[in-house]
Amino acid sequence: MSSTVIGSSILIDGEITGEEHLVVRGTVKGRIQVRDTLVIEDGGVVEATVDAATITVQGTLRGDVAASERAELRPSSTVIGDIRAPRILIADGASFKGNVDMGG
Amino acid sequence: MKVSQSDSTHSAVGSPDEASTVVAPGTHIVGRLSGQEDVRVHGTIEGRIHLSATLYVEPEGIIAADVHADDVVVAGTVVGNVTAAGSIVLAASARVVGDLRAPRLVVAPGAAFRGQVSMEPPDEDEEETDAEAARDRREGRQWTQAQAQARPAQARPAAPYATQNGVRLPPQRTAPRRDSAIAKPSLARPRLEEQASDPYGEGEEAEWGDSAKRAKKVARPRILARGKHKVERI
Repeated sequence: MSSTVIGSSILIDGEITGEEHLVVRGTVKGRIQVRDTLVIEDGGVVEATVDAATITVQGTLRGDVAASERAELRPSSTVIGDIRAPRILIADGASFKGNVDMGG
Repeated sequence: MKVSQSDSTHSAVGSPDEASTVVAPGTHIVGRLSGQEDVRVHGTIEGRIHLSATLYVEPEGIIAADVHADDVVVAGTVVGNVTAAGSIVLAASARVVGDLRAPRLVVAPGAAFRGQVSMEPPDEDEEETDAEAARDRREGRQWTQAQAQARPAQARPAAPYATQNGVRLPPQRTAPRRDSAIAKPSLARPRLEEQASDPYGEGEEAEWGDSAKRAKKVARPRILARGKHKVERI
């Protein structure tokens, strides 16, 4: 119950901040900042600067990504932007264009 | 749409299904939200909401936004104008400041609401809000706080001041003055005597208080003594 879900027909133009798990099935433009996990599901489109603990992408993400724990690009995902995370998973089939920074 | 009067809006459509959008308690959205599916708000949304479905504002949910939706169910807090194509329901726990426009409106006992209500179908006002929307879009989300602050003043009904030669007079005294307790019986007395079946006016004497007795003393010379009165009637 304590998770935010942005449904497939929803368009948000602005800023989302939160403490909980965030699931995006629709479209979000602007900025996303969550303390927990961000999941961009299949069909979800995010054109935003993203800041989260864990980021899982199955849909489309355009923007710079900063994950404090982990970033995961699933097979169906398309990501254009820079990723900064200590651990990054890119699955076979994922499309990605940008820089990767794993710290160090 | 069938809606229960309970504080939570969950019972309105059963448990929240997977397909609908949920804004969790710790989540804050600033900006514009639009879509064609139900949105359930436990968190906070600031900005503008445009839905072709139902917006549920849960008891802990806060909306500081102008809302356009098919139906709106409020159990939480809304600051902003709400326009619904169908119905607006304010549950008992609802706190709303803003103008409501919908063909159907339900306000449960216990709901707090300040603002205007219009049940007329949207016509020229719709163009007005569209123009407002376009202006907001140009100004970005600067409008959010400024409008939220301005709205309560707008929603508050104007005090009924009377004017005389362009000077505003203080509001009319609604509470009775203290001396009116004395003035009233003597004023009311002639009217009561007309209706009284007792021709001597003695039966009603017990009803008046001390102040009435004082007032009666003034009137006494006009009341004839019993004996004389009888003689006159014969």
